[in-house]
Amino acid sequence: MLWRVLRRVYAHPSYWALSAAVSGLTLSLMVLLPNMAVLSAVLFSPAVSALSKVAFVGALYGSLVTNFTIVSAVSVVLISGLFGINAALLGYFIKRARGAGKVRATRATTLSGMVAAVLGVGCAACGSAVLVVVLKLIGIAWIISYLPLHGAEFGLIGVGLLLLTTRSLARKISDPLVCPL
Amino acid sequence: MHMNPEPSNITHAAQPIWRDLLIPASIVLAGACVGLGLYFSSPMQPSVATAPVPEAPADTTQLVNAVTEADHIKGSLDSEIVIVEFSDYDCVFCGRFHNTMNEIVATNDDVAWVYRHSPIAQLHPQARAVAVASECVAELAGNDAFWSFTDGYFAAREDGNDTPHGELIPQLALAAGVEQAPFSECFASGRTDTLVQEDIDNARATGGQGTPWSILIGPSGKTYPINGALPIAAIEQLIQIAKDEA
Repeated sequence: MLWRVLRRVYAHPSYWALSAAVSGLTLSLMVLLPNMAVLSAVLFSPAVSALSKVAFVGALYGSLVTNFTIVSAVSVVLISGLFGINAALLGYFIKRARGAGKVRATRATTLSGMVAAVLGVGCAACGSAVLVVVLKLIGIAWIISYLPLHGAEFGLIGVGLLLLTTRSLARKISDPLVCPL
Repeated sequence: MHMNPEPSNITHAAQPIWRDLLIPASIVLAGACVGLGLYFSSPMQPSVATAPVPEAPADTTQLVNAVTEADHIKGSLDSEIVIVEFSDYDCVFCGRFHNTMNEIVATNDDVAWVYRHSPIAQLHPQARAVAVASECVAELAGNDAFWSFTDGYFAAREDGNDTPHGELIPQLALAAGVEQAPFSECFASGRTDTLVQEDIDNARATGGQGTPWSILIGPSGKTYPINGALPIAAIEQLIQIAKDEA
């Protein structure tokens, strides 16, 4: 079912573009956010040439290799890809429902889905920054020393949940838009 | 005649509201999990400050303690670019960044590297002892001996050497040219712990939330924060940018 839905959605080039854009944005946020302070200082400096700015941003992407464990780097890539797929499936679902004149019916899903997706991306990308404060307050950083992957488990759980989300979206798409008896 | 069915009659709309919220809720939950994963597995893990932090200026990196001859420096004190690194001996990302910085100072005559301590006790309970030992090595045998000890420690751990701290520390101290008796006396006294604590306090004051945490100081005195183990290409670029901005 999932494969059939993916083939149907990705038959349209626009969904490839949507997926690529969302995946790229997600990956960029997750990789670049830890160094947003220096990044913004460089990007907004009139003394730095455009070429240097581009080169610096490009070089920062290398931190995916140096600044993450293997497990977390794989998680970041998988999450980015899955967010892209989710965005395409959601976009396809909304468009199809609207095309069928079911605007009101899909309103809740559309709005809450899109807002939640943005929140989800935000959580994924800046979670580390936010949680630093939270975990400092509740003082549970020591917990990770007892976890076999030192906390990377949470990233893997996130991948699993996104796979479930993808499956749920595919199921919604494969459901016919019909009136019940 | 109104042919369009009411929204509530459509299959999707007829589903309970919680089913509509299932997908977005999953996304949020997934995002939170990823955030937790990144937070826990990234080098910028918390130093878990327990003391209240005084109100600081917007650019906290300007609060970095001045670099003096008392620091552990590779390169010249008069270098155009100075990179102050706050590090933890048992942090794997610090090991990676240590290699990067060794390469940077080896290939850039106008860059100096200052090593300061920021052991994270909650994650690496032995790291502070290594830092205290390294200061004893510096006190007894000087800057070169400090770097010999520090380079040796990171190299040993990178090579998978899992010798217990209690054995590896004196081995490396001896290899750095420090005699056993004065080293043991210094280490047992704990007198160099004050230096380690000063570094930890300054790391936090400058905005460090974990390790490696570094501050690049440009020729004009402008500071650039470096979170984590950035690749060498990014550091090279930042050095050039700091020079261009001077």
